[in-house]
Amino acid sequence: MPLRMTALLFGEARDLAGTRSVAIELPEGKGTLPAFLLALHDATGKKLAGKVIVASAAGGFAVAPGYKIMINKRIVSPQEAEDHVLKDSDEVGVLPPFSGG
Amino acid sequence: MKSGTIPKESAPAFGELFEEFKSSIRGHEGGAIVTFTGTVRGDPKGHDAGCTKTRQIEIEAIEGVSSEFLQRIAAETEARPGIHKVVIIHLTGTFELGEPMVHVLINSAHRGEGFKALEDVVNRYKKETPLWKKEIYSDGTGRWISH
Repeated sequence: MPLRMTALLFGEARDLAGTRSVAIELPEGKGTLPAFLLALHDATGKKLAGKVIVASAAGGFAVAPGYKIMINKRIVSPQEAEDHVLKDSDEVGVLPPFSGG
Repeated sequence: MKSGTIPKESAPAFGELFEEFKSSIRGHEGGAIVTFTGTVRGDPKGHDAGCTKTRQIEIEAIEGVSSEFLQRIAAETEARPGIHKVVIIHLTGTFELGEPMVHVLINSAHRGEGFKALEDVVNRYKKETPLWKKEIYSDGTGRWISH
């Protein structure tokens, strides 16, 4: 069974993608952040490339410096998110650097 | 009276907030109430120098989550000596020049602790709370700001 999850986009990421949420599907057993970001990269027509989704040192995909990840309303650093196994029905937020008014 | 984000359309005016704040501290008042209100200014932060002015600011939050961050900052500040009560109200939506976007109200034993706490609270909510600010310029362009 594939893993179906939702990407939630905020601020600049939402603007670039032109949408607030994107349906993401990953193969079973592949619930990792790099795999999620690759799927998001493709699902948004590569509009997030460079500013939101960047190449990681390991050769995969990562979020841009200063970005954070939110997994089911819990905000974590990208490093913590890398260690997290994403599950079916997860909501994964891509959060640009914060800037209150 | 709790800290949190509120859509601009349903936010009370500062005068109402202040009266509610005063009521909430009745019986254990300190010697000072210090407040900060952040408004939309005309000179842009995210635009190259020139004659372009900021026309509007857009503020985005995460429903529920951003409010929890503001409440945590308020609670941690209230734990400081001499600080009795802290309320941070951050508005969301689209704001015109001069409109208020955020209010901070602090009740403290003395003005010194209050002013210091106010400065710290403003610095913290700007950097630590999931909120995003977009400047929209008079030439029609816009830019998301990072502190």
